[in-house]
Amino acid sequence: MTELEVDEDLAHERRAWRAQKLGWGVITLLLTLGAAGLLGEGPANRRTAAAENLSVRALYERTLRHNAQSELLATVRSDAIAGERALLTVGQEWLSSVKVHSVVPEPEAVRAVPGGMQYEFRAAGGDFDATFHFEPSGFGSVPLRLEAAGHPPLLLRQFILP
Amino acid sequence: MDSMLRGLAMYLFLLMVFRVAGKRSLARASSFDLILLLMIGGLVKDALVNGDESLTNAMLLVLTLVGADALLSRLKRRHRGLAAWLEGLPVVLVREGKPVEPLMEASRVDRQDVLAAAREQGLQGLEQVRYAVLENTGKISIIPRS
Repeated sequence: MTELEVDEDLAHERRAWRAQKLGWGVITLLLTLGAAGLLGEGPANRRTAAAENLSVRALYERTLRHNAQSELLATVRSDAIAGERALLTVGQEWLSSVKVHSVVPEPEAVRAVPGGMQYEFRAAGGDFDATFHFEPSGFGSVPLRLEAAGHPPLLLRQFILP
Repeated sequence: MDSMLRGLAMYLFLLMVFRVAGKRSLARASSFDLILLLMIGGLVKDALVNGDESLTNAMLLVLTLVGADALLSRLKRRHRGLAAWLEGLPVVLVREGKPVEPLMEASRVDRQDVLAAAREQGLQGLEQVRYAVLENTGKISIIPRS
């Protein structure tokens, strides 16, 4: 009776099984991070931040996904609003890394200022909220600067996953 | 260029996921495996196409995937070690009618899987099996006792 001719290598196979176990560990870790919202989407991913004198607040997602819709809620405090005009400047680096689809409410004017774009809104009184609907088009860590006219800026970072 | 890189990244990602999942994953071609494959195909398609549904993009992606596959086949033929890591090696699960339990457990194959493969060969039980080999493809080959 001839012996079975087979390319068996149990030492290699044991190494491969160990690698597979390690791979399952990585998959479990990714699933846990995903479920916790650390890979974009989900409540754990939402953050709030404010400028040092609280003139601007932001509700944003810490981690974003390339080409996936997201929102940024920027609030200008009432005492940072001059008359009925809320002026909010958004940093150029962030604007270059996202496609802004819409801003609600619609700004009355948008103008280029040094370091970014200034959005001018009509504010009815009290704190003013503007929601930016956007889609990240870049990758990696992106700085976001929000500034109410004449006040210190709010500086934060978002991370865009592929 | 972007879609080609996406294609390559997804090819390597799927290669790793299915290697980690093991030889037996999706090897049975059960109706659920088929549904899973279709769902994975649909999900991958959206990420690859990325909104560009042009014929050029589709052709580029097909060429990228086929090219990556051909290149990997060449590399595997030249470097046996690489082939062993990417595809695994055959494992003998049953010798002279006796199951090698530790190997079956590590390969996630149970007695019923071997018996099902044996029945496909017209055999009634393990005592009629000389060798059962888990191939790289995830299929179980049966060599009957003469």
